[in-house]
Amino acid sequence: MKKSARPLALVALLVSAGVLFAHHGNSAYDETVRVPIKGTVTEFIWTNPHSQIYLDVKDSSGKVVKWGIETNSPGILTRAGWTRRSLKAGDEVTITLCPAKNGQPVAYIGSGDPGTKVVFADGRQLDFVDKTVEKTVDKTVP
Amino acid sequence: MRILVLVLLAALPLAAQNAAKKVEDASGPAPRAADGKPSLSGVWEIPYTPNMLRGVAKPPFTVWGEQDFKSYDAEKFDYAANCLPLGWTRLMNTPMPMEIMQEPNRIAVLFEAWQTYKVIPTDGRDHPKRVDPTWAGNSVGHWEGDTLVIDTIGFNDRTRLDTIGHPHSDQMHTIERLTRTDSKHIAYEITVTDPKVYTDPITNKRVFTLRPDWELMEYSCEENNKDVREGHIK
Repeated sequence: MKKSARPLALVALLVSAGVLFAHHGNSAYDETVRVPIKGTVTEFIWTNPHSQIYLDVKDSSGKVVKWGIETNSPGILTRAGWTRRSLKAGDEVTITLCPAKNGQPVAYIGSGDPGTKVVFADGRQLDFVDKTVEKTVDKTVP
Repeated sequence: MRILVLVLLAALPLAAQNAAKKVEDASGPAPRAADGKPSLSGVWEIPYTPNMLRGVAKPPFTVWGEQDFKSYDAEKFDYAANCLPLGWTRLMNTPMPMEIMQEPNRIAVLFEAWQTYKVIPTDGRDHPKRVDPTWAGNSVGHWEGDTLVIDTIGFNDRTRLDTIGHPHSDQMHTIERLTRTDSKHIAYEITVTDPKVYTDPITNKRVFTLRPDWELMEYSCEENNKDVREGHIK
């Protein structure tokens, strides 16, 4: 079996960060801000309850920082137009995300946080807006 | 609202009126089941509701309720993180769709979240005399005109109303009213009473949207739940 490319360092980081999954409270992330991060995808894991994107990001000194970005379930992503092949290792992307409150390189993007998205170098975009039908119906919550 | 639409229509040129009419035609009357009741069957998009008291300036907490809410910290323990059952109100709050299958004497509600369900009798029965506490409670339904009313008691006290953690106790009683206002929408209203936690009833209203192009997909809370499995969050 192919060993995951995910670095052990990141696992250790997630351990120390105590990252919460969004199927319960999302209090580990600052959902009041949106931060763009540019980097290279190293792995995309299409899985319940939350998919994950791993990203190599160069900091200002040129050092590579390994980011772990959590996102929605395959069900939610599918309705938003994603597939398990939407991201692959080597993709250059800019991800607009909600960063961890504790400053660790972990973050969240998803349907509950409008404006979070993945933009490819050629301008293509993955977001969380429903793509299944043209919306003509009023979804206003009274 | 309808009056406003009429006023606007009167002011529009004919072509624009026709375009507006097409959109309006997209929502027809609520369909009926064979027994004449409004049919609630279908896959419904339900709005994510992490805070059922949003917009409530001062929640009507009892002293116990306020203390419990203030001391709640999802990072210390969240049953949902541990993939325990969400409970009835939190199931209705998820950002994942719900399917309703309606028969004359019972209604099945299927949730993508937690890949779970509840079957609610609508044959006129009341709650059993003795109800043991459960995660999702004991529900019975009945029709009031064209509105389905779901009455639920018998909750345990291990769940929370919503993601941000508003509390409830085993004395919680919920009444939900579902009205199919047209072919594409259900008006949903839930009223929560719980004398241990709230001095007044809490009401929350939403609109469900029919999604004929959707189907419920597979969900698993456990699959990639690394944090809990590896024991570094509670």
